[in-house]
Amino acid sequence: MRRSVVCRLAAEVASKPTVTIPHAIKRSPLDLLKALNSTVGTDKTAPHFAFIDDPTTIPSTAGQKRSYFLAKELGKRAARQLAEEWPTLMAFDRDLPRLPAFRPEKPLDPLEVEPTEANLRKLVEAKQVSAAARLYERLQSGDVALSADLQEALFRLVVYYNGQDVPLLEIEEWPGLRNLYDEGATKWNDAGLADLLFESVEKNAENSSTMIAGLCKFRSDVSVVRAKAIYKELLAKNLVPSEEAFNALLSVSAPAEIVPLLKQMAHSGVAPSVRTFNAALTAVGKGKTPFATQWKTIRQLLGEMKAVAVDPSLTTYSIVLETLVPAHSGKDANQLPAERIQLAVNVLNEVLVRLEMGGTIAIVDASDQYFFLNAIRVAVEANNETLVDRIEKAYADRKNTVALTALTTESVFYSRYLTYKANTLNIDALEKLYKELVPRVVGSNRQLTLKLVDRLSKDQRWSFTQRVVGDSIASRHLVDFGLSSAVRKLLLAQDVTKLSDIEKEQFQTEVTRLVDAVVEFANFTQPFLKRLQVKLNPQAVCECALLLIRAEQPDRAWNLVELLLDDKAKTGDDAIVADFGYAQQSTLYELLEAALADGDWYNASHVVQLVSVYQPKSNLEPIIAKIDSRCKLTPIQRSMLRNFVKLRQ
Amino acid sequence: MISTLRAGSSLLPVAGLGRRLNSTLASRMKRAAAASGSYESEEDQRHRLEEQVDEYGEQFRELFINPKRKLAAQLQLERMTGRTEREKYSRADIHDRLAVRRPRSEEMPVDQDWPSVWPAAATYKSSVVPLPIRMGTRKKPEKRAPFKKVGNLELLKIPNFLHLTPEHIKRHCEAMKKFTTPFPPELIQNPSLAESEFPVTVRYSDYLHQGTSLRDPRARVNTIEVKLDSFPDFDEHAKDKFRHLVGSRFNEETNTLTIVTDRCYTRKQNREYADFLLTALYYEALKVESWEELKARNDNLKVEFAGSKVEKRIAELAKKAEDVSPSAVKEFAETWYEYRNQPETPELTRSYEDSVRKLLGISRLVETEKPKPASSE
Repeated sequence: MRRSVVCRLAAEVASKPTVTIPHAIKRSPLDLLKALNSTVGTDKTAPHFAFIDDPTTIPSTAGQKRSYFLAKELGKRAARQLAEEWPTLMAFDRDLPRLPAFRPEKPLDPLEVEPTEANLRKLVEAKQVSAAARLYERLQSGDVALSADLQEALFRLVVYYNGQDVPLLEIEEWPGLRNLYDEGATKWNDAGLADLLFESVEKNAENSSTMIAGLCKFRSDVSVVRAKAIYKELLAKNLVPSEEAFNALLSVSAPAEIVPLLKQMAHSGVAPSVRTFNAALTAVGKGKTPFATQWKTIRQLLGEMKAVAVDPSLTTYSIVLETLVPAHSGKDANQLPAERIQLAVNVLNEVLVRLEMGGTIAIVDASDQYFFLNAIRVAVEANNETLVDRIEKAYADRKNTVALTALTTESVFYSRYLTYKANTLNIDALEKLYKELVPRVVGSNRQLTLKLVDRLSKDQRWSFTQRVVGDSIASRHLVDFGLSSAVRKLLLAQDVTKLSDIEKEQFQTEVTRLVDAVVEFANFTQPFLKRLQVKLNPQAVCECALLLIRAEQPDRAWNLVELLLDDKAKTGDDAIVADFGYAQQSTLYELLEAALADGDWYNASHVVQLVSVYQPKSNLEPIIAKIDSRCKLTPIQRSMLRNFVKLRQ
Repeated sequence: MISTLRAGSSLLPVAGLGRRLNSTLASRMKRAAAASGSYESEEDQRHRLEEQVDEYGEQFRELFINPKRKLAAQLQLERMTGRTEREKYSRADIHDRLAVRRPRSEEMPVDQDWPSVWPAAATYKSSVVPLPIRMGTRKKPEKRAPFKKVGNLELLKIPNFLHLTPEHIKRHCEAMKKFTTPFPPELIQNPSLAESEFPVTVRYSDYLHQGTSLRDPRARVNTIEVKLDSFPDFDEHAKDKFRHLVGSRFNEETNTLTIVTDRCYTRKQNREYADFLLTALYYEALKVESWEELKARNDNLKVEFAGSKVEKRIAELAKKAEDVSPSAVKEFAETWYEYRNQPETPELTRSYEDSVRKLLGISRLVETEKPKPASSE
């Protein structure tokens, strides 16, 4: 065969290298993408990537995030379900290379398939636990003999999942369900398929260890006793339980049983891992052992870890911190002795030094992320700003590969961080931090909003106030009595005279939006929309009126005030104003001042009447005198006012 | 009776406000003021005037030709033209409406990291781009500016390069530098080496798109270019045969052969096919077949002077007129060759005319200094 001309020309060039062409630098298929990825940082104003980046679809609260995320995911699940039911209708054969997601197959139905070993094996391999259990029952009733290895595989599967289907927590494909749903702990299914299979498989060390681990994983009072009995049997037979069996037993043991178990491990020559020590440390924190004993055991265990050269994981630190300062202590938190908090801070400091000085923080267990939650909780309880900052820095550092779960734990972590920093940072830095974190990581919430209202009322910053008010309105705070009132207070605290023209316009827009929303909520009077109604209350009306006056809409403001004197607006099915509550004296006096500033005796007299209704004990005489001095009244009007006061006092 | 509460931009129905407020202190004071003549509202004045009677003791009655209420169509027209406020009712989607945030572009700091905000190609999002962009056409843009960015479909249609700002490209180049090797220094010194050392140019395109398939039928196309001069062992015969074989795939002006292969299923197959074609052309061009002797003058790609009727006539002429020099004939032959083998232009025709005149010794009647430009002919 003749040589290709191109090859010949290439060979000619290669034979007399007048041009030196360097060899290509070797790289993996992902290297280029990784390099490009390194050029992208975090977009601090964007929502989480799962959400559509549009003002209408960016969720503001944790609840909204949860429902948006789940809505998306469940839609996908529904589509999969449909594709499974009618695969030919959904055929989409353009994909290259072939993607199994486009060809979903219905799982085998255990009641319809042929009861054969091959089908059972398929179900076991696909981890269809309950289906496998049913098919196994059919096989049993048909007296079909099973191979020993399949029986053991089925046994392991059934024990691992307690005869139930794989929990959502383990399904990688559905992060929303995995992270946002808690299925709760299940208890060991007594006399179930697992027990039946245990009787039929060989009781060697591996199978017995599996059984012990399963019994302890789905613990109940009975199952723990059984696990211990099997453990004793194993020891009596001179068989060595696996490390997992020891770990499981440690996790259900009382503090006094830890040392004997660990001794037995050493005696049997089973090497402990970090999980062994984590299980032991968890057991230490249980029960009502005195703290001094607990702390002593913890130190012994940590010393032992050092002696056997087992590196602690973040879970280890997390467990220790949780033992020192228990979570959910609530009101008891204040009762924790100062020394104990001090001890926790010392421990945390040492841990942080280790993390800061060390290399990459690698993930060992899924529970590693809880270290950051516990750490920031302890630091906040100890009111130690330096520690709080160091924890956040350690988490956000590039060398940390342990990520908190987005929308759940990460949100809690940064919420704690931001709520704490809201007390300590100056207003400029706080504004920057708030805008970076809300609503991207932290959802707008009650505690944070109230704290910020407090800060901003004292230290005014319109750009920040506007953002907080906007977040509050978007987070449904207007339907909450306390929060709605806080938002109005925040806007009232704003000194309008200090605002620039553009800011003043923004202020007016915000006020109009807020009052519109409040009035719209009150006007849900139709029977089928009553559930949405939030009636106006006197204080809210007065505050809204004051806001409108500041936003240069006095007509609308006084129209609102007149509602309080209208009986029909307060009674009957169509009532939009609540027939209870009161307006504060200071608010009423401010309204009066606003009316008097314009020499408006008409609206001032409305205020007089409101004071007499909502503040019956207050003295009306000075008010009358003020109106008289600042408005042009006719003698009849003057006497009418005096008579009004006389009649009421 | 239902009156309305004018709530800024909204009109919300409020049960019995206004007319039933007669019992309030303020309204009593208002009546008192009206009675004393110091205060009278417009409405009260109208009422008072209406109560006036003429000399016959009759009340003045207004004549209503149109109905006193506005018709539905009239109201709708007023609402559409913005002369009346649209009535607003409480709607059940209030929470969704309130959950709409302000566009995040308003909050972006001026020193933000744009490559992180817009890292890859994406459809335009008005809430993310903090630029006052306008797009679209208006009849009189000096009176009304083009449409602004919010809800502007024109901006979604065009490809944007927000992911390829100078900063993006700089960073990408920096990140990819570690995978690059230096350009051959010899080629920098002497760029003409590229042609002699790398005579074959292969062009193809990769197509990347968001979809379920990696394949794109356009990716299989190979275009191979090679100059005829790249074959040093070609003699005149081989060159001529090569030209005959490649037909219209050869560009006379650049002296380049272009082979486009796209009939095979993959790019590799097409590339190999192109190589095969090139190899076959090369060896076929070098071969001399027995039937090539049959090649006649008509088979030439160009019209040759040698053997033409003109050559014969000039030879006859040269015999008759003795002053025709061989150099003049040669010069004429060259002009003739050009004239016959190139697309005809006025300049070419004129140069041909000149060479004929020169050969035959016919001078012009009036010597023109300059030939007229081509367009005027």
